[in-house]
Formats: sequence, C-alpha cells, structure tokens
Amino acid sequence: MGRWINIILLVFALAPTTGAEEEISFTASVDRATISRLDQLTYTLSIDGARDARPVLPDIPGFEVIGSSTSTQFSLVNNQTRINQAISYTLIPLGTGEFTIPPARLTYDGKTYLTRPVQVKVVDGPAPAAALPSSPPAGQPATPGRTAEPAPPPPDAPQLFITTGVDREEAYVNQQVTLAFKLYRRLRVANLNYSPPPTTGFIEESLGEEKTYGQVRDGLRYEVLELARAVFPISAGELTIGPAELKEDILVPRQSRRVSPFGFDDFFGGAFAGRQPFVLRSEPITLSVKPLPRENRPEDFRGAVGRFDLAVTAAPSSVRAGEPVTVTMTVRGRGNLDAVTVPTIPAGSDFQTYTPEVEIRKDASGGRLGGEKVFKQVLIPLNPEVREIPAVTFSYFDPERGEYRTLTSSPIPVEVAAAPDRETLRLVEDAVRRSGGEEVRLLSRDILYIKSDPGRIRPRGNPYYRRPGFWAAVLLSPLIILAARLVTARRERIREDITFARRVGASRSARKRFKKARRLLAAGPGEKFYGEVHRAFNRYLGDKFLIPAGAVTAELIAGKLAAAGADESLAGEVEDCLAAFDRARFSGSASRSGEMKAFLSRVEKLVGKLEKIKVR
Amino acid sequence: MNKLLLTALLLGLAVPAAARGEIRRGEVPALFREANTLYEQGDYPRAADGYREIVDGGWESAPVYYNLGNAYFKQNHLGPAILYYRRAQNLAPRDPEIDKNLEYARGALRDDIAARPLPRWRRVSGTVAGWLSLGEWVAISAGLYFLTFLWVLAVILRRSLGKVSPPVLKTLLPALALSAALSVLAFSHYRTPRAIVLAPEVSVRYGPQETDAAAFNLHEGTEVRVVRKRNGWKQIALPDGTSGWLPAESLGMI
Repeated sequence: MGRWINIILLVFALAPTTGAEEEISFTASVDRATISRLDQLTYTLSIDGARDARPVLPDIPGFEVIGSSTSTQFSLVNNQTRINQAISYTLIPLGTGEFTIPPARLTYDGKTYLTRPVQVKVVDGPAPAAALPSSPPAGQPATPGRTAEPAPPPPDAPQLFITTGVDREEAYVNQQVTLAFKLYRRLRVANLNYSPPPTTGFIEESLGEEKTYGQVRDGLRYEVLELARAVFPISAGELTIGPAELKEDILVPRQSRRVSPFGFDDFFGGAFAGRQPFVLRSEPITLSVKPLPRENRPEDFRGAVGRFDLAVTAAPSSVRAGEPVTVTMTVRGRGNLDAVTVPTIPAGSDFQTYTPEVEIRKDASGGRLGGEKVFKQVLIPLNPEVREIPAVTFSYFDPERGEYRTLTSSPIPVEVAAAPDRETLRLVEDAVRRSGGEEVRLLSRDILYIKSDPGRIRPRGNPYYRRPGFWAAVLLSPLIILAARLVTARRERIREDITFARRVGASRSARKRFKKARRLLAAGPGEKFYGEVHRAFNRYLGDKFLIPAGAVTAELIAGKLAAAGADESLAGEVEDCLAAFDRARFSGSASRSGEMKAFLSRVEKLVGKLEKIKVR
Repeated sequence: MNKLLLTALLLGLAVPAAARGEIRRGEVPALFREANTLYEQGDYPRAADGYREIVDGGWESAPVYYNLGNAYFKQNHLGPAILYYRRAQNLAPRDPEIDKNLEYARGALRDDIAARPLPRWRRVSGTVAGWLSLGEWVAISAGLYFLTFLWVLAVILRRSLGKVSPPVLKTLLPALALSAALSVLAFSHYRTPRAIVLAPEVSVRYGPQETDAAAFNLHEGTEVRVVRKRNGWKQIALPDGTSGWLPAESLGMI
C-alpha cells in the first residue's frame, strides 16, 4: 500500500496544495517495488514548495546511479505560485535481494528534511506478468480482458473507471458547488495525468489534498482516489462542467503470482512487463444556475454569497484630529471570499478615508470553502467633534435561505482632541489644494474622460520607420558622401597637380578651340580658320605630352607615342595632319568650305584617338 | 449571451487587417467626433463600434485608442479596455491621462502576479525607453544621422569648414551613437510581443492542446509576453517566470 501511495504522491504533483504558507514536502518514491535483475529502477525525489532546492542523494547499496533528470512544475493557487520539482534517478541493480534505499536529505532555509527509506526487491529472471486490460471506448469504464487472476466476480466488472459528481444541481450565482472527481481502480497504474473538467463560466478553488481510501462497490473492493474542488458559477443559466479526463499507464504484470484475499494487492507485488497508455473520460455535468433575486436587495450588496459574520475593531481609541485611526473589519464565514468586498463605513465628511488593505485567509474545512477576509481601513477624523466611528454594514446573500442579510456592527466610540496646529492636518494623498481655498476631496474614483481631439492620425501598423523610402534615404546618404568626396578629390588634384591639370584640360580646351574654328568656318577666311585649328591641335599635343606648345614637332610626338606604346600608324596620322596645316596655311589652296569642314572633322577624330592613349 | 459577445469581440479584434483601407484619412476626424457624441450620450457599445471603425479602417492615434479603451471600460470589458490603453500608451508614452486610466483599470484585475525582480540595467533601460515612443526615438536617431550626414557633406564641399569640423563631429557622433543605442533599446522594449488576456478566464496549459494539463488560470486583462506560436496556440510568459500555452484567440496582441 505505502508503495503506491508514493506513486500517487508523485504523479499527482498537479494537485495544488491549499496551505497559504509555504510548506515544503519532500518525498521519495520508486516506480516499482520489485524489479528484475536486468531492469532499471526509477527513484524519484519530489520537492513541493521550494525553489532551487538541491537534495542530497544517499549512498544506495546494491544499485548504481546511471542518470538523472529534473522536471519542475509551477502552479498558481490562491494567487500564490507553487513549485513542484521532481528529480528522477535511473538506477540499475548490482545484485539480487532485498535492498533499502536510505533517506535522502534536503536542507532548505536552514531546515533539514528527510524522506522515508524505500524498500526495493531485486529478483532473478523475469518478474510477474498478467494480461492487459482491454481499452473500452471513452466514457466507459475499463474492463480487463483475460487475466491470470482466478476468476474475479463478476467477470465483466470494470477494473478502472472515473466519476465526477456535484453536491447540488441547482445553485445561485456565486454559490459554492462541490465537484468531486473519483478514480476507482483494481489495477496498478502509473503516470496518472489528470485534466480537470473545463469549468468555463466558473471560478474554481481547490478543496485540499486528494484522499485515498478503499471502498466496496458491487461486491468488489476498489481503491478510490478522490479529488474535490469548489466551483462558483459566475453567471446565471444552464452551465456545463465539461468532462474530466485522466491519462494513465496501466502496468502490465509479467506473470501471475500468489493471490491475496483482497485480490489485487499481492498480484501487483511483482515487476511489470510493460505499460499501456490509457485515457478515461467522465460525463459532463449540467448545472442550473439561478440569478440572485432583485427584490429586497440591500443597497450596499456587492456580490458576496455564502454565510458570514462581521467583526469590527478600531485602534487607537484616542487621537488628535488629523491623526489616523485604523478600523479592522473581519468578514468570516463560508463562501467565495473573492467576492467579498469591503464593508461600508458611512464616514461622511467627518473623516478622510483611504483605500483599505486587504488580507485573505482561505480554508476548506468540511468541504466548504471559506475563511476570513480582513480589511484594514485608515480613517482620519477631520475635526474634534467626532465622537465615534459609525456603524459598519455588510450585506450578503444567503443561498441556503434564499434571502439577503445585512450585518451591522455597533458604532465604536473614539476620543478626538483638537489638532495642535491648524495647518498641520496630515493629509491627503488624493486631495488637490486650491490656492487659498478649502481642500477639494476626492469623492469617488472613475476613469478620466475621453479626449475630444483625434490627435495625429497615422496609418496603422505602418509607421514611417518601416517604410522603404526611409531606409533608402538612410542607405543613400553614405553614397552621396562618397560621390562628393570623389568629385572634390579630383578638383583638388587639378588645382594642385599642374601636369594632371594640363592633361585633363587638354581635350577640353581643344574642344573649345574647335568650336571657335567652326564659327570661323561659316565666316569665311581660310587662313584664320586654319590658324585656329592649328593652335588648338598644337596646344592639345603640348598639354597631352607635357611639352611647350611651340616645341611640338612630328618627330617629338612620334617618339612620345612610341614610348606610350601606341600604334605606329597614329604617329603617321599626326605627321600628316601637321604637314597638312603647313600646306594649307602657306599655300592657301584648301580654302573651300567643304574641304575645311572635312579637315576639321579629321583633326577632331584624331584628337579622339589620341585621348585613348595613356601617357605616363 | 456572454459567449456570443466574447466571440464577436474576439472576431472583431482578429479582422482589422482584412478590413483595412476602407476609410480615407480625411474621414477620420468626423468618425471620431461621431463616436465621441455616442459616448457622451452613454451609448458605449456604439461609441466603441465607432472608434473601432477607424482602427479597422487602417488608422490609429493615441486618442482613438484611449477613447476606445474608455468605451470598453464603461461596458466592463476589462480585457479590451486595457489592451487599447496599452496601445495608446505605446503611441503616447507621456500622456498622464492614459497612465491614470490604465492604472485604474489594472486595479480591477483578478490576477495578482508578483513580478520576479529584474536586473537593474533592465529596469533602467525599460524606464528610459519608455520616456519616448518608438517613433520618437527613431526620429531623434534619424535626425542626428541626417544632420551628421549634411555636416560631413558641407565639410567636403566647403573646405573652409574643415577647422570647425572636429568639435562639431565630436558632439554629433557620440549623440548619434547614444540615440541609436537607445533606439535599439526602445525597439526591444516596444516590439517584444505582448498581449492582453481577453477571455474572462482561461486555463494556461502545459502544452498547445486541449488535452494538455492545465497549469493555472488567468483572467481578463492580464498582460503576458508571447514567447512563441504553434497551431493556433501561443506560449506565454508571466513576469514571475511561469509560462504555459493558451489558445491564440483568448489573447489580444498589443
């Protein structure tokens, strides 16, 4: 028995704990109590409620640890997170016999926790086995197929099934309905994974740890695991609690062994041949939820449903005006404390009030959720005429009687002395001072009003910094800088390097002069035209080959061209051209405009060719 | 009835991308004033529809989101109210009215999640990034960038500026580097996928399937960080370090 309670503890790590304080539970379990010499054993340390705890594994006689894995689960219960950490060690047996795994130790927050020792039996050869249960369709109990057990009565009785039930089928909004989930089994299972029924439309609270007990049903003894939850419907109408689901692995025993009077206990004492995954589903439950009645609803009713008491105290009982009095209002009872709001103090204009501090302590005794909710409200008497804290009222709906009830405390006397100094009233975080006038006190809170101006309208999901134009501008900027730098560098070189400037300028000034020559061509006189073209060509050659224009001769140019590796025919053309100038200028023979035009274009072509030559 | 309303709400939130572009920019102010009039008359559902028409039509502004948040808050729809206040806040991070209403709406949240303390630099960077909207951060960086660019261009073209150039660049370049770094911070601050729980109550599960066990429940209005998506489910993380899976339709992306 103890063995498989351990397993339940392990696999029900999901079941939340209710304790408000951090309680640490530290347990050890093994996946099987008897294993074959050839099997592996999983030894699991489960730590509930501690963060980053590091347990110390004992020396385990008869086993060797070959690996470990850690899993951590978080759960949010009663607005508190809860951590469950499970460290699983894989052990292999070193021999056969009965072994005891000594307690593991955990030191956390200065306290030391020990697990119980765990007994494990290692046997030679195969461990016991039995037939598998067959898988029934969802929603129906599992029925085993052939089994090695001697004929259990009746033969088709289910071995494993789940039920969900509620304690009432009719409820008021916010009234507690207890939802009980029960797992009945006569089989050995592991890896239980419980999905609670979907409770959309309800607020759900745990009602404590799961319970396990034995129960006889249809003449068969079942092991029952019960899990109770309180649900509170949040709206009226027909509400459905969906099916609960349980996934588990059925452990398939190796072979039949002794059978105990209880039928299954010893039957499962051995090792298991395998696991068969299995899913069980319960029927959904429909609840009829009544709305809270409208008639006789007290004005200060804020939604609390259940049965409550109210206790009010105030301290200190004697203050000066402007000093705080703390009023402690305790609402205690059964019901959904989350729906309990602060009781009403008709404080009026004699007091400055502050938002109360709220403490909530839940418990779930007797299957009913309840506890107490403590409101600590600071009141500041504003004048010495105040004699008492007025009576506090709290209204709730009692679903058992079907009526509203209002609790009223008696007024609490306080002595208020005058403030020592008029201006030192210790106030007031919510108050706004008007210059020279009286204080403006906040009467209630609400959201601020809407805006009347639509503001800057922009296309949704398409801000300027996600548009291609923006990024194009960003990327283009460096390119523009690069281009500007290249241009200025060239300009600078022209200014500073005369040789470079002459070369670069050679063709430009030649082109200018050719243009002038073309104008002269239209004007008429041949000599002037040839003079201009000749000057242009000579100047060009001088600049290009860096020699004074007056020193240009056909031989010199031919030499320079040969040095630059140009074609010999080019030198010939230059020579021809220079000779043609001389002929034209001195003979005056070619003064017809057609010839002059042809000559000009010949020179221009030649300059074009020379431009392609690179001179070092 | 409640379910129907919720479905309509969720569908409405999913649709805008498809319905975009039906409204011209010039029509927005008139639609806005119309919705304001409905709000003033206390017809919050129709006012909300009016503001939503603008948003679904492909336009946004902080006041539109803010008023839309108000219209939902007045109908007690905490989830969409907080969602739209947060969107408004992202566009106008220094608007005290948005902060006030968001804080007030958050006061009604049912989930109280204790945030795990963040490292100091994360807190500081979050605060600094929150001073300006992402658009403003990028505008500052881009402005400094183009200013630097124009200055360098001027120095290249007018050599006489060369003498004053180093001190100017010594001011411009660090400012540019700083604003670029802050823009990157702001980017991670604003572009981290965050969402608001819209369903009244939803189970956060260990995996992206209905059959996975529920780890805990969250309630309408709670803000979560979306870690990844899978088959219509989203894995979310809470400030306290817990995480789990939710159906995507129970969330509204900020």
